Amino acid sequence: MTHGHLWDRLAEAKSRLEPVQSKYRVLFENPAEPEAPASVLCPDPNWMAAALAGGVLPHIDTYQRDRNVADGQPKEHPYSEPLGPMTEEEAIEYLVMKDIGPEVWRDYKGNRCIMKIVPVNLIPSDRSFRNAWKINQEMEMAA
Amino acid sequence: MSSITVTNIKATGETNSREVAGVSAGFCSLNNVSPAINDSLNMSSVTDHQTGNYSCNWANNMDNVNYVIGQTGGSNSTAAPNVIFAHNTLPDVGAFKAISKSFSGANLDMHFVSIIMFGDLA
Repeated sequence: MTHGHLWDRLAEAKSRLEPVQSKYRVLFENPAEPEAPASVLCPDPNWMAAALAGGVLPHIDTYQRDRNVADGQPKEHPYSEPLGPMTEEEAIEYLVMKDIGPEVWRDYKGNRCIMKIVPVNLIPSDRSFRNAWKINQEMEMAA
Repeated sequence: MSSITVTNIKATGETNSREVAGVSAGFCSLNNVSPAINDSLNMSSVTDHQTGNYSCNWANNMDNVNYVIGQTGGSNSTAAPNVIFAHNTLPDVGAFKAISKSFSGANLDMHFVSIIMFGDLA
């Protein structure tokens, strides 16, 4: 094994790569909590730099399989072979599958749009009504 | 970057050595108002759920849920906030959900949130 542990690769990448602030955010609603406001997922800039450069992050399937491994048991994702470079759009899709529950992006069967990948500038900067944010179902406005 | 493999390390002048596992497993400097991550290690993303309620998602999961989080924060507001941070749910090996409140009990967004994590990596 020559690619080492994921944590080591992340630390090495951070020392070498300039952070990349993503131009996207992911808006999503939890179907199990219909009254809750929409959540906003913000990618980490060091993680995004590593995703774009390649050679750091494992295949997304390894995280999915590790969800079924008990705590304290050996996990696959830290030791699996890293992926090559991704585009920013591919990296966002990866992040959706990693950091948002499958009940949002895979299993939801309702008619309501509960997830949107949007440019940062569509996220309202005024947080006065943050706890009332919902995904707009009609217009191109995000929330 | 080169690696050394050891069990314990001892600083010059110290009499005791300590476990290498005592090195931080990750950290995050977060603006919970934007929201945006200023700097980090071992993070993949942060999720803003609502006012004063957010999750940190780790890039390299932890081995078990008994890891330790330390966090503090502050605001740009001229009125110095009195802030309480707490776990919002039980921690998960891949994420940590937190809530920040004022002493009055209202949820509060912080301009500066500092988070460090110690524990065993997966």
